[in-house]
Amino acid sequence: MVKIPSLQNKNFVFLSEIIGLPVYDQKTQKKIGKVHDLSATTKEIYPRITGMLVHDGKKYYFPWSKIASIEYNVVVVKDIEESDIKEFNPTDCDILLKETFWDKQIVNISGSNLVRVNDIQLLRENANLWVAHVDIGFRGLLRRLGWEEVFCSVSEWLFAYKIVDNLISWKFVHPIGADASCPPMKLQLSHEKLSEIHPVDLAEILLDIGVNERTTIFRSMNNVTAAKTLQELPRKTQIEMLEALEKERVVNILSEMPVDETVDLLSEISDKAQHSILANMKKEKAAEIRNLLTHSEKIAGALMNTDFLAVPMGWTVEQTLSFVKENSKTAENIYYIYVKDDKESLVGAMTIRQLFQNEPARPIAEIMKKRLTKVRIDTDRKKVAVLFVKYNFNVLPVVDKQNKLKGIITIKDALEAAYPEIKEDAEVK
Amino acid sequence: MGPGIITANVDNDAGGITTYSLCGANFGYSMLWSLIPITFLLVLVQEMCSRMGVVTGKGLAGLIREKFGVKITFYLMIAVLFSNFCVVLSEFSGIASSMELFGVNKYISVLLAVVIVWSFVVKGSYKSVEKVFLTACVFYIAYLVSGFMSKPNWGQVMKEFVGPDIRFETSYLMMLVGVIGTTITPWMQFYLQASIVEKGIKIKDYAYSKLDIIAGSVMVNVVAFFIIVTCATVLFKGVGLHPIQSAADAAKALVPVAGEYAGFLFAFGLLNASLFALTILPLSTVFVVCESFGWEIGLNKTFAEAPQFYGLYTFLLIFGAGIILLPGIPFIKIMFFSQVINGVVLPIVLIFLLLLINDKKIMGEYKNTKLDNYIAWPLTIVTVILSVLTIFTSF
Repeated sequence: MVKIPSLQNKNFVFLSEIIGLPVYDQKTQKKIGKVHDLSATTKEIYPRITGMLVHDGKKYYFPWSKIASIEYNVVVVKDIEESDIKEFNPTDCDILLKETFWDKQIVNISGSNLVRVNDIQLLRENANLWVAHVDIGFRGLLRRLGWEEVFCSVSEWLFAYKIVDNLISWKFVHPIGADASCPPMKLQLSHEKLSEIHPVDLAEILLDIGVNERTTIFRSMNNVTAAKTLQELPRKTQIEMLEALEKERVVNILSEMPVDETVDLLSEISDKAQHSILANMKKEKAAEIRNLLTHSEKIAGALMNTDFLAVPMGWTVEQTLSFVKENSKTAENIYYIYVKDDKESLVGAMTIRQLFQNEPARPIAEIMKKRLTKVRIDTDRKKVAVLFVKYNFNVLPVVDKQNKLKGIITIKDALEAAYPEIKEDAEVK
Repeated sequence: MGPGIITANVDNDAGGITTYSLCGANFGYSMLWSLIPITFLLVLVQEMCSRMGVVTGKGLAGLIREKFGVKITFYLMIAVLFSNFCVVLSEFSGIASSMELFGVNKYISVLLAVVIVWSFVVKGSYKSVEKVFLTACVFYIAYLVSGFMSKPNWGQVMKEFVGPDIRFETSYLMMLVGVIGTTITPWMQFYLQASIVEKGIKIKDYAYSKLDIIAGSVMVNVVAFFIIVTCATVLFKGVGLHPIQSAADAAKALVPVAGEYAGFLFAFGLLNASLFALTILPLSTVFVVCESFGWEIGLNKTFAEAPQFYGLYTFLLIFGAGIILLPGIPFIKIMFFSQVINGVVLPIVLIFLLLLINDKKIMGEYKNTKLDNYIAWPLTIVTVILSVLTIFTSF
């Protein structure tokens, strides 16, 4: 059986302590080369080390089962065969640790930021090594430079300051660009990881990384996270992301986005791309978007969202409440519920608070507010913004000439429309 | 207006203006021809940097770290940090010496410069700061005006400009190295690539970037041309004579010959150039270092969030100003020393640049063509030879 690697009898070893160690053949006692890299499988929650690359003019790749021991400063390999002289062929989600991580950037989920990897900490458990932590600290940098001992002892002796490791648990690491070809299991895990970061931070991370990495990470997000993140990106990058993805994926992501945002985005891409995206969408949604796209950018119609809640005047509080519950997932705002008559005209509105405070059997016509502030669909967007500021509204209904309810505008939409410069500044720091 | 033009204008900094002034005063029009190949070289180098920025979306320091590992990067960063610090020193001496011409003591002018730069960079938003920079570029017209006011013999100027006149004398070659070294600098490559990445320029808009770079490079050399012409017309008295020691001397010497305004314009140009470069250079240095070590970057972060970023920035600015404020420090020696250091670091950065841009993994289909390499490698080797020459002859 494989002897337990005993690198100074530590539970944790750093990758930098293994890379470069001399490697010996157990049978002949001859040196065959130096450790060049370790491979690990990302199929498990913590990557397990599966093999070792040894370079010395010739290139060897040994599966982990052939490593007899990793004693202090020496690696011994058993049962070496001719067939071990080969290049490393990544199969089955194997990655090379040094090549993939050393000096590269990763997303740190717990800090919601991008960091550069200085080293990797491995956990020893029986015969196996696992990737446990990623080292992003100053001490890791010193270790790689070969100055760890000198520098740390000087610092401790002079300033009584102990330089400690700055480690991130693998749980909070999302590698960039390395796992594009990996099977779903790993990707699913990353999905969950990335969706823990706030979309604003995710957008900032996307802007900070390289061009190829950006698409890789964006592609690895699930549709909901991708949609939320997409909204936070500057227009130029939004279009870049959409162009990099397949049609079906674009449609899926856009379907998760609020209609007004989708309209804004689609209005800025080429007509051809617009048509092909709309053709793949659900019929009703596509029709809605087409309709909104026809509005001039300058008027309320271009700002509004058509996912609002409206109920017939004859309903009771109970009916309305269950309607709200059913539609709470898709509606942009569930606090205001609008009331329409048989001719679809807007006749009143109420808040969800009113619904909770009244008897279930009471007709809503009795509790709704009849005098409403509303905007016509062709109102200038600047005037809309003024209304919001003047009356402190959060949401305003939009009606057409016949007083038919067409959509709602939230204060966020109005603000962004009135102050495009502010939006730009908040997005691109 | 883009990164190329801004980079170009930072390039005409205190060290640049000094070198061009000395070049004109000591060698007359005889080195004007070199501005043509220098423009060409500048475009070539900057084009590679910006292409890399557009294709990868990453900074030069980050790419070097990812390809060559932490050790090489660390020592390279020390070299870059040191050479940029020397440039910061030369900017401060440019401010001090130009303000002395207006009768302002260096203790006041340097401290004032620190306050101005600090409030620009830390308190102003990036966009507004950039606008200020671009407006400042207009002030380079001061040199064009000085050039015309000095009434040169244009026929002679044109003859020397198109007809190369290479002399194999040590002092002539040294001056030539100085002119090349001050026009094509290590920091500029990091800075340009970073701005391209920051702007998020896409490959389909790359043609505009190229245009921006060409315009910027031509601008640098037009300004250089007029500085050399001005100083050559007014001050050149024959080969081997050194009528001035610095750009400030040049401004002083211009007054009796070309009139008070020409002298003032010249001094004002020097002040503006130094201040401009001082606003951009320390900041870009810190960006580069933090990028390669993965430290938090950004003016929108607090000190606690990005301690290395602010720490290093403060160090560069305060320590740089501190050295210049030492009584009796020789400005001209500092500027010269800064150029030598830059000249030595430049070829190293060029080599990294060429290795990266020829890496198919990084650049894909946009890697250098054979033709690019046939031009770029020999030029890099020439800079290596020139910088080795500079080291040996200057010590």
